[in-house]
Amino acid sequence: MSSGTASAPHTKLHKDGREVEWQLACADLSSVRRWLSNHGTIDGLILEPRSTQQIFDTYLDTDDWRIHRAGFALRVRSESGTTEATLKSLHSASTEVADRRELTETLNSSDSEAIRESIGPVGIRVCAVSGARTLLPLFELRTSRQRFSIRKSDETRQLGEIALDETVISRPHGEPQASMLRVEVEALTEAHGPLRSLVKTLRSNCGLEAASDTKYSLGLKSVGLAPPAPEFSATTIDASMTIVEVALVNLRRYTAAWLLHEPGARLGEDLEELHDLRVAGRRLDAILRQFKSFLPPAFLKVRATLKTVLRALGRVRDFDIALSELEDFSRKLPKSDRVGVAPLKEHLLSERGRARAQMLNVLDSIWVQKNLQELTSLLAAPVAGSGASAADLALLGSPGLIRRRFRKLRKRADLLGVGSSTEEYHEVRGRVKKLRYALEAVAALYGKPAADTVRALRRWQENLGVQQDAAVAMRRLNALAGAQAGSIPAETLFLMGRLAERHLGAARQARKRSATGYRKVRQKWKKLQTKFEKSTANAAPIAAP
Amino acid sequence: MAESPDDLTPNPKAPVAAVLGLGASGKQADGMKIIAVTNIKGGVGKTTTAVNLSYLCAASSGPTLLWDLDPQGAATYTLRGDPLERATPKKLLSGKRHLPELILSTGYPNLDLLPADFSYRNFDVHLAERKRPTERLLKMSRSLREVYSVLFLDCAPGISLLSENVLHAADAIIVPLLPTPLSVRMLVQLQDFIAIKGWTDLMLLPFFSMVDRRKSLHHEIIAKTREQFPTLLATEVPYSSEIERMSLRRAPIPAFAPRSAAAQIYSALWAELISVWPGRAGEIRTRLPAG
Repeated sequence: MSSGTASAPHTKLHKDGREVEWQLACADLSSVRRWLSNHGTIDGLILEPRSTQQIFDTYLDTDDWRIHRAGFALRVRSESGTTEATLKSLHSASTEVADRRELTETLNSSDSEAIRESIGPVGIRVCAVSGARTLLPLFELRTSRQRFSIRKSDETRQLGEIALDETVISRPHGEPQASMLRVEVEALTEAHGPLRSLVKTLRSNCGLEAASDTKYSLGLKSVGLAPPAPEFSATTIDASMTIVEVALVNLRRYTAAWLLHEPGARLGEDLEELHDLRVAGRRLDAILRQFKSFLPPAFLKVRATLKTVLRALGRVRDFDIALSELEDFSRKLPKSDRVGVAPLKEHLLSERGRARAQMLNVLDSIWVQKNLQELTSLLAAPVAGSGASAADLALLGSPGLIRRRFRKLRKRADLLGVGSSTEEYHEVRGRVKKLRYALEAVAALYGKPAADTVRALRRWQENLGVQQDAAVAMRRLNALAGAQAGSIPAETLFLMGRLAERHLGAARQARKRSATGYRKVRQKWKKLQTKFEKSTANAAPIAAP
Repeated sequence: MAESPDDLTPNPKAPVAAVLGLGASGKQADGMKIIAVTNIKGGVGKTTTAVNLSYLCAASSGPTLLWDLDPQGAATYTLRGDPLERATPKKLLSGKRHLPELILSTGYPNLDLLPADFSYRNFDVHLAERKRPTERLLKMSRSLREVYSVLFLDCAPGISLLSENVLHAADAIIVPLLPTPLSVRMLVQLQDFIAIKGWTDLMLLPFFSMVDRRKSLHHEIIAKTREQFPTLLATEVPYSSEIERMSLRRAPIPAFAPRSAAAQIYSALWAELISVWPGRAGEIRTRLPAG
């Protein structure tokens, strides 16, 4: 089924919908042809032959497989004088049938750069994900497609289409590498039931099996391409590791997470991808800060770049949260009150769009790209620590680092009270985060006491976060009300007031619980101290060479 | 004697001064080149020149950065820069903020932008407070050398401490000139200033901009100036509605109209500029863009 908006013929086609298609491997298409010729009507369905098409497809991606890592395959199709670009999701919503999101738009030419110049659903996404990277052809498919339309005998609308495909797979501008015969049954409406039965009949009468590979995956295999496995396979830390080894394990882990989530964050459709990218970035920054005395200077240059990128990501995330909260707030309103939500939502969406464009401009700069690539290259090579203490066991060296962080936290947290300002709470939240990240990097060395302390820190941090989120939201609402007072409808202004009150209420409640959060952290900290002392006493330093 | 790049015809106009080791101004010969586009007068085509040449440079010479130093922000506007971060001259000069934090992609391969800020109108005030006030721009730009081959500076009109910083930092100064007597006078003043400072490794590359060949005055001035200044670039950029349209399209001309006459002119200007560039082979390797 292809659903979504499609424009009239002879105009640019833009489509965003789902493709539902049964894909069947076939050894001999002639037997399927014969069967279809002899069964023009079957189970109340009429199968009518249509024209045969000659289709030329090129699949593309960047050199670092960004489109693939974002969860899509990108195809440019030339057929009957028109050219289309399609993004097809690699993930199917069903195991029984290929049910994938599909975005399509017409292009002015078959040049891959025409995708970048396009402002349709494919062009926008490809630009966001690929940045300034060139799109490179992966492989080509030449398909001769014989088609049959499917409709119910008592209806005129087309339910689906059967395609008998003879496909040759080639390297870009190169020799054929493989061929493929396939029968595909595509649903064009929501009525899958009759098609499901037809597929069953086809399978049993023509000896067809469900295809194990998509054309995309088969194409890649045929030309010997495979997206690289995630860099830096996960490694756990253990008590035998030195400080610099522990630092590197953490850096590799979070760099791998960064590489994993960046394409999805660029795409901007799954909000959690951006959140996960930020988490990876903040962890990287925390590790570089915590272990700066032990890492070679080349690593530390990346920190400034990370900070710039994190600010850009954070701004988008703020709007994601604001939109999500508005959605939640709106759902709880009586229907009659919701009319005021739309202008505020539009404003937030517009600002989010701008923040996303700014984020992409930061991510795509040569400076950022080079520095992030530098980090990946540094981590791929053996690294010698810096300074005499780099070779110390992490088990021995870490408690000192963690205790310093705790002292800094306590200095501020002891002064927090009900009357403290939002800025003072925010300052404490920052120190809670730093302590938490520092402890998480080495928590595996200290077992349950460390894990419990991390958990308590996380809960306290979340509690403090409610206050900070409320403060940010209030500032934004105030700024909007002030800047655009004349143009905001009265019902929207009123709703903004109610939203602000909701935030204030949440912040007040969170503030009441803050002292409890701190108390729990101190309790867990005491046990962790005991663990630190035992671990230090038991550990033997590495013998000098 | 100045060396020409290996693969380009030596230019008899190339300046005698050689860039060997540290130049007279204290700049390093190797690494990122700094090209300033400047004129005391406004409205002569500085931004148009800076945007188009930086685009062509990025296409042929590798990672290029355009810094919009004009508080009006015309280059920023043309390249659709929308800065997330802002940094005042005070913060930049004190080291509280750094240039790389402000860099944005332009969307054009190999071309990044340091957007302008309206607070740049106060640059001189803060420069005057620092030690060695004419050397601060060069110092700020040092961190960029690791990544960029070329840094273009789109300068504000006028004479200021900032413009002196630009002259001190630059390896080459491109000066768009209107064909008027006052423009030529300005060029003489600039040349004398550079001579007084002893910046023998600084290339002065003036060219005529907004030329209207229908005007006999333009003919006369151009001919006379060429006699006086043999180093004037041969390429002349005409007054052209095509070029004016750049600010409507908000894109470099070679990007949105690559086959246009205007794009050809700027390609020719860039090619000529590279041909007179002194220095060891490989510093700015170019493949001249397909015309």
